Amino acid sequence: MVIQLLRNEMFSQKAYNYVLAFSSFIPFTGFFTSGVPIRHILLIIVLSSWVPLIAPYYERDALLNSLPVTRKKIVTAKYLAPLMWSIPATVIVFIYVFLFVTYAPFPARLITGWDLLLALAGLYLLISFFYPLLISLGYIAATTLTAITGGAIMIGVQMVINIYHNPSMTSLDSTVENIIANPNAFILLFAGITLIITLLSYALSVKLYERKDF
Amino acid sequence: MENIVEVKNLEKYFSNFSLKEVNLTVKKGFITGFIGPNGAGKSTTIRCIMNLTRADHGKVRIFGKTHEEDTENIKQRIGFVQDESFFYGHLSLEQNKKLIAPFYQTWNEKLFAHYIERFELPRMKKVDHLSKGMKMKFSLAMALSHNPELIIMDEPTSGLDPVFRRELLELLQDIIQDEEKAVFFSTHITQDLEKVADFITFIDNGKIVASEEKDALLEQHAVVKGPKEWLTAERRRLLHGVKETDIGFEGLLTEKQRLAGEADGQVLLERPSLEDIMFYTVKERKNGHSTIA
Repeated sequence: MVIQLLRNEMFSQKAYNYVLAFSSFIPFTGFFTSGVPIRHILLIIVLSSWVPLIAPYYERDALLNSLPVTRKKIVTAKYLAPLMWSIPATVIVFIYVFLFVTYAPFPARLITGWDLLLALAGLYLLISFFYPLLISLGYIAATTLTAITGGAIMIGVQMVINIYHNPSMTSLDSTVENIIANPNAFILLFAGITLIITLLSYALSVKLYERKDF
Repeated sequence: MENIVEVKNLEKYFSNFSLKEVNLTVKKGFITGFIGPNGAGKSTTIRCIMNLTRADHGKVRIFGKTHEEDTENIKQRIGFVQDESFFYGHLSLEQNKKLIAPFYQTWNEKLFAHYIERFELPRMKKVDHLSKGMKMKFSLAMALSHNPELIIMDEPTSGLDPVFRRELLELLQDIIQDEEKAVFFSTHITQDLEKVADFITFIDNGKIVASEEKDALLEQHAVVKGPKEWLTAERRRLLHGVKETDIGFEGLLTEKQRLAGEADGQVLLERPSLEDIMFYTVKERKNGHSTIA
């Protein structure tokens, strides 16, 4: 039944959502001139989360809940959907990066397994924030709060980078240097924390969804 | 008679409305009509039965099980028709069917094709582009195509033309012929139920007013019309929704046998329709014991 629910999400979308998802290539690749790995990771996150974030707008909750499926399975499918979408998203971004590395006159490298782990962790952090809000507050509030929080995190990361590059401010130097020296350890730590957050978010979403009226 | 649905002491509270101690049954092999004015609680009760809305108190058992015990099995055996289209509006009927059919183990593609043809539905048209009646027909086709043992319909006839309404009622009668299925059917168009229902449950303002065999319900009530002099205080207490004019009165007698002998020749006793029972009962609640015209 979870497979059927995932299939439902895949085929119940409006076609232009897929076109809009592809348009995110433009800002995240700097008009196809950037080979910076973090942009490719962000691109995988955006492409993988696009449909799961848009889908609830078209979802028919009364229909889904009248079908022979438990509410827990509906929530499980919601949490598995980003994983499903991350497969085509990774393939597409991988092909793009491969072409970029092969033909573009800019320095670049291929996507690594660590990049993918970081992308998945980022994706599930986003989703873990979004779904409980969606179930408790509705679509508009959930997307708005998620967008604001996502933006705030990106600004925060940029601020940390700026502080690190500012010679008069040294408070974050040792932390950033630690991350630069041990990036894989940082990714593992981040993925571990995200896994715990995702499990907590899933449990909360199941509880909220089981109490919901349609 | 085996009960397919048993609702016991169901309560649901909203800020401006509540269901209070709703008790009802749906019997195998019969059509049970669920009547009441708009906003009486019909849809809320049906949503509780379908587990779309969680009851605050009480139990709903379907096929002897609660939703907590086995909602998947229960819903496999139910064909549900909502009062408005709840399918994907931007997708065609065929696309909607392809998404929904795999959820049902007993989905019958031939039966679906049969209903699509019988209801003259355009498979490739988007749901949003259908008329209200066509949407309801599609909803019916989807609900019936997996051979459900229980058909629950929330206001299915409200958007339908008279010809199809009759066809639908005939279809429902055909469905229960094998005595293995049951139909639970809410409507405020009571004439529909008069034709086909075996049992009637009447809800008003969140409370069940009556729940019994249709013929018995009609038999025990009567519309009384007569001169004002006949209407003593004692007799008035037996009537619902009394309307008085300068020359006479009319009202609904809820226990006909209690006036046996007293009414002969003095007042007119008419067999009520379900609409009469609904009208006078709701009027009684809204306006108190009587109104003066």
